[in-house]
Amino acid sequence: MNKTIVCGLIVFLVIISGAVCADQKRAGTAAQQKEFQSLDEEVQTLKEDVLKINHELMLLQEKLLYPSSTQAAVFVSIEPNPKFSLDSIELSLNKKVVGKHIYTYRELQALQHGGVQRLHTTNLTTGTHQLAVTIAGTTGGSATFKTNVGFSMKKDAGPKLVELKVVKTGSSKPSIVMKAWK
Amino acid sequence: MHSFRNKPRHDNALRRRERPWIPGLRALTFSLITAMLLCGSSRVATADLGINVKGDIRDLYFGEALYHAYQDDYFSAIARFDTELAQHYALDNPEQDTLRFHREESELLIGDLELSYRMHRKVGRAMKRLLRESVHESIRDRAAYRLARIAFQKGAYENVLVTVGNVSKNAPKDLRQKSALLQAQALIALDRSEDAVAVLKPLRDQKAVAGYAPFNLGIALIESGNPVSGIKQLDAVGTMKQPNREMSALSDKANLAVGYALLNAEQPKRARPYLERVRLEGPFSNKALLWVGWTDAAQGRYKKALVPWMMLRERDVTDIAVQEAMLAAPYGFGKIEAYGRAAVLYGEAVETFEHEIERLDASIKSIREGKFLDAMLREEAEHQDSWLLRLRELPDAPETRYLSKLMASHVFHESYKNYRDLHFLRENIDQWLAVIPAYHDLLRVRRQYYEPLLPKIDREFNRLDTQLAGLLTRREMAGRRLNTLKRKREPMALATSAERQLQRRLDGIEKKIARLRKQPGLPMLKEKHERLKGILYWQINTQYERRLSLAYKHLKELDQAIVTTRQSHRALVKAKAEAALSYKGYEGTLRDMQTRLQYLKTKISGVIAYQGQFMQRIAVSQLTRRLTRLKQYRTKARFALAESYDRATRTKKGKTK
Repeated sequence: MNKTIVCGLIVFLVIISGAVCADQKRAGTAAQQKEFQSLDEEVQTLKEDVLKINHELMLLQEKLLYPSSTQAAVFVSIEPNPKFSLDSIELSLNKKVVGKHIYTYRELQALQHGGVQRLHTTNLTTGTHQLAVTIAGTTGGSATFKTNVGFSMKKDAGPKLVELKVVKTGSSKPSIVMKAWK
Repeated sequence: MHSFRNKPRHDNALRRRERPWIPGLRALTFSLITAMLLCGSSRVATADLGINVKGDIRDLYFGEALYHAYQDDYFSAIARFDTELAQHYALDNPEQDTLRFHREESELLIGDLELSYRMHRKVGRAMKRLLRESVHESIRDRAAYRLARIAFQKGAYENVLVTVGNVSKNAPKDLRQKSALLQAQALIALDRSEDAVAVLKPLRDQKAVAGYAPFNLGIALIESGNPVSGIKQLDAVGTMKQPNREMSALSDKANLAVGYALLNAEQPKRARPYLERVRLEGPFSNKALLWVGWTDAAQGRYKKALVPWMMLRERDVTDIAVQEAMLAAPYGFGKIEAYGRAAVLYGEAVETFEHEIERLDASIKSIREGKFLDAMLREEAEHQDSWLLRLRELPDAPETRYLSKLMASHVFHESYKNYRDLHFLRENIDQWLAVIPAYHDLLRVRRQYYEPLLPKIDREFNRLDTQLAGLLTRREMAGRRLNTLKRKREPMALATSAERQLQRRLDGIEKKIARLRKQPGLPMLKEKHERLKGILYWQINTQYERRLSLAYKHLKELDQAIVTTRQSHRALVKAKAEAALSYKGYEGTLRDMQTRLQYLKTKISGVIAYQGQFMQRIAVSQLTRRLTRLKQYRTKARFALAESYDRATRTKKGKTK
């Protein structure tokens, strides 16, 4: 009998403590939610502030490092092609290697979806310059390829933007075409 | 005695007769709705944030921002879109800028990215602006949908209904269906389940909202007092094809919900198949195994109940269902009168709980010491898409042992993301602060180089400028003269210098001849002079047209040369100005930026500390709750252990007698 009473008491205490805990938890959760929201708003404000200053600094940096009269930038894009995978790219400007990049899966996916990668930004004098591009990758599974293409690029007084597009060809390996943007 | 926290209230339910299972189910549906709403909203977000820009890229910088967006590099993508849009709007004639082809798309994309970066306030403002502007209907539709989603995430369900109403009938089918799903979710949250049923019924077979529409419909039907149809819907979700992890989890959730509801409604036999459908390795498997055991126990089939419970005992002991199985299994053995075995298992449970209590104590201590916050920033947890998997790879240290369990809480999970974001923001600020001194150096070097050069260049430039001005004046005069000659023939004007000299000589000879007195040979001399004069006249006159045309040709060539010179002149002016501008006027701006960066860094550091402290408090509070529960379990296990020993002894004595 005594044992039953003790057990009953324990169950009662457990239930009571559970109920108290539940009430405390509810009150705690509401306060926690409120505090979280206030903190979250503060974080959002900071994100806005940091993005704003980044935007200003990026513009300032471009103006400072690459004035419009000498600026030249080389971008890379890919014609979507599931059979082809780009591993790396190397860019030479006037016979000097200026940029190399090895692609991650995410970067490649971004390119395949239509993203454009800025590969190189520099300052150039007016006149004609030589660009040479080497790409390496795989086609049709495990077959590897390497393609070299050279281009002439005329730089005028304004900024020069050049897009190098990796395109499908009749042969098994892709090629590169250059497009000059105004 | 064994009234475990997660155990369905079966004994009480057995005594209920009126609407036997609805109250339990209703309580369940509330928790389900909460879970589902969270899940639903994230589903909507996932579907929508799969950015897909159709058509050619007509602005390279837009493409560059997309490149970052596709990699879920939200910060870089937002910063680039921001920069491009600001530059576009600052142009005198933005209609000539190539970003005009992507402007509205960019506004929407930036909204999506900010939403992914959890900047709801800013997105809300941007979307409201888009709704006010006279943009294309398709843009308005998408803006309205995004605004509705933000309202939903904020829990402003009435606003969801108003905003969803702005999505036009001409919107793409997918968007209309997703908007309707959002509307139904808001209606359920507002306790208007009957209205939600009406919205969801046409959606149940639609691909864009597959799984979620029938799941919501099931919940709405149950909520509106139609449990049979509701369970039927959830059953359909529980047996649907599962093309991906998301759908598998949804299917598990539906099965678990129905199983729990039926178990609570005193229908354990019906509940069992639903619970059995839950995948053994999924996130809901532990609960399902526990409840499968309870369905058997409720039918008095304790031996059968022991199979899932014993299986569950072998799993991760930090899981609550596993801890409950540690008590449920010996309870089952007790019921089949295997008191000795029950006593052993209760003993093991006590030992496990004690060990776990020690570890919880160590974890709480470690969290209070701040080690936990360092663990939050480990590289293993960096990738957003696989953070949970990576958290499991963390070493079994006190500060990280319960991290994945803590992440189950929405507040903690969001706080964790904010904490990481804040660190990223501070790193970003640090990077800029490190670069600025280099820019100051760059400006100093440029000043040192250009300042002595520029006065000389200026002088030379001014000299050339004067020359060019003189040249232009002479060209103007020459042009006017030629035009006169074209109107009024004047051959001598185009005579060569040799011809002019000859002409002068002939004039001189003529004067001399005129002064001579008459003498023999004079007429012949005059005749000779006249002939020479005639030849010269002939030559100048007959060449006149050719020379005029040649002069015009030369004038044109001169004009071309002047154009080239003017271009060079302009380039020189620009280069000269840029040379001066390359170091002038930046110092102040850079100093201002530096001050702002420092201020932001201080502010961020403050919020990081606060955020970290907040997370520590949540973690400690959650772990303390676990600790309290475990201590209760330990107490229960100890009593049950003693009782089992008593019974085992009594049984043994009985057998001996």
